[in-house]
Parts: sequence; C-alpha cells; structure tokens
Amino acid sequence: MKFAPTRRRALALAGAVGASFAAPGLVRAQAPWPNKPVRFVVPFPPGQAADIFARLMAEKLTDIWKQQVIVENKGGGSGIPATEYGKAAAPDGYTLMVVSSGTFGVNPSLYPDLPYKPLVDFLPISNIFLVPLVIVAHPTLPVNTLGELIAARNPVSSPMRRRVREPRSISAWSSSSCAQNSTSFTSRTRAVVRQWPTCWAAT
Amino acid sequence: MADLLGGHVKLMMDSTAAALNHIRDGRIKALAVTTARPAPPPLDNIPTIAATLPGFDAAGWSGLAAPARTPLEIVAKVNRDMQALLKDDAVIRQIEQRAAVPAPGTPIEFADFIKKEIDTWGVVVKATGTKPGT
Repeated sequence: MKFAPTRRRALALAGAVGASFAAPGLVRAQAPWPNKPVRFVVPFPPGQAADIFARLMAEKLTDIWKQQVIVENKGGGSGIPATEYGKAAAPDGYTLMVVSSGTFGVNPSLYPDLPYKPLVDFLPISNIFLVPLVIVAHPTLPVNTLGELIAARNPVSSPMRRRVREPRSISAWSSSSCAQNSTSFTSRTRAVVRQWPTCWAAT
Repeated sequence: MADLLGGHVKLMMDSTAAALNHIRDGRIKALAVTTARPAPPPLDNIPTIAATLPGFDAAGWSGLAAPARTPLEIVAKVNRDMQALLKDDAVIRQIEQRAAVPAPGTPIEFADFIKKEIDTWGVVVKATGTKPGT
C-alpha cells in the first residue's frame, strides 16, 4: 500500500508538535488529552457488530486512558443523523465517531443529499474489524442453499414465490450486503441484488 | 434480526457477529457468507456466495474517526493505543469469538480503505439502481 508522503509527514509533525507542548516551560495549563470522559458515538442500536466491537474498544481504552469511554448509541436513519451529530461535535477529541461500511462505504452513493462527506468532515483514525455478512433465513423458508434461493426467483416453479409473497421489507441488508468487486460483477449477481429489498442498516 | 427470529421476515443479511448465536441455536439457518473466504470457526462450514457466484467478496466493517479539525496528535495517540489493542492476543481472541477479524492499520491506511469502499459501492449502487429502502 502506498502512503501519501505529505500526510504522513503531517502526522509525524503533529507528533513532534505534541511533544514540544509537553516540554518544560511550554506546558499549557490544560492537562494532556484525555482529561475527562470520551464519547464514542455509535450510529446503530446496541447489539450490532459495530456496537459490539466499539464497546470492546471502549472498555479497553478506559483502562489505558484512565478516563471513562462512554458508548452512545444513536440508531436509525441508516446512521445518517448520528453521523451528522458526530460531524457537528467539538473537534477536541472528546467525541469520536464510530464509522462503518454502511455510513461511510455505502451511504455516499445511496443518498445524493448525504449531509456529511466521510473524508472531508472526518479524520479516519483506525478500522477496528472486518466481518463476513451472512444470508440467514427463517427455518420455515423452503430454501437451504444460495442456489435454491436464486432458483426460487424463477416464477412458475418457485416454492418460495408461493409461500412468501413479495416480502414487504427484508430488513438489515447491511451495507456490504450485496456487493463485490466491480470487475467481475455479473448480471446474475445484479439480478440477485435487485431481487432483495435493501435496508442498509446492519453494520 | 428480531423480525427474522419471529418469522415476520423470512430472509435477511446480517453480520456473522450478530447472527452467530442464533445460527448456533438453530433458530435461523445460514445460506451463505459474503466474503471470498469462509467465516472463522465455528461458522466456517457455511458456503461462500463466491462458490455460487464467482468473484463475490464483501465484508462489513467499522472503525473510529474524529470530527475534522480534531488535533492530529490526538488522532495519532488514539490510533497508537488502538493498534496495541488490535494486536493483543486476548483482544484478537475476543474479536474472533464473534466471528470477526481484527483490522489494525494507520490512519492513512484507513483513509485509503474508506476511499476504496466508497468507489466500490458507487459502482454497485449505479449498476444495480439500488435506492434507499427499496
């Protein structure tokens, strides 16, 4: 992976500036960050992957920083209201935003009027995890494999079409749910993606 | 997920982390995972979508970002401390137990990754005509 030398230098420089403030005679009245609780804003309800691992990080960083790291869940609206809230927070390091494949990866293409620009309104700090997504079905759905699910799209012979009439909403198709590499994006995949309503909310 | 468990929704996609316990308890059945490689154990027996649709590879992820104009030395410190955690054996185990994979890296690597994700999903959304809530 290539690094942009200017930004790399900027970060190194930032470290040096930080060190000089800590030097005797230059110490500011304010104690070094963090000197009060830090908030992690999670744009999803508790229990989703982004929340689970944000809480894990918060717990461990609380020990390291000797300051409480509070997880604040603000779910709903595809994570957009919460991320807008994070964007508007004071840029003092005491409010940090949990960002995801949904809010940062997909939303920019899905919402033309998205009220935030991921790489303009925020400074990325670090990814935390990658997680496979899984197509899961209720046990009563009469398909057991992806092949059967695709076959079930065919009218006439589809047992699924008979039993499950146009599910009104198939929830929590997460951000990364239907994608893949653009190069080998097949029309078949497109058909599968089109078939299933999306709700871009899970991660 | 509650709607799926209750049978109101018959089919959905969620992270392995959120679905793990319900799959293990047999309350829902897993058809396929989105990543090119199988999920970590104990979900490694679920077939990949790529086995049926070659080339399919997608994952969920989340990380941390700061509002623009946050001092870079704070960003650098948070990154340093997170890298230490994401490379700590006990933390790695805790992440893997939820069927996820730790993703450490520098702020610049994360920025590059986000940019790639935005580009990838831009192509997908355009190609599929996906609209919010459709």
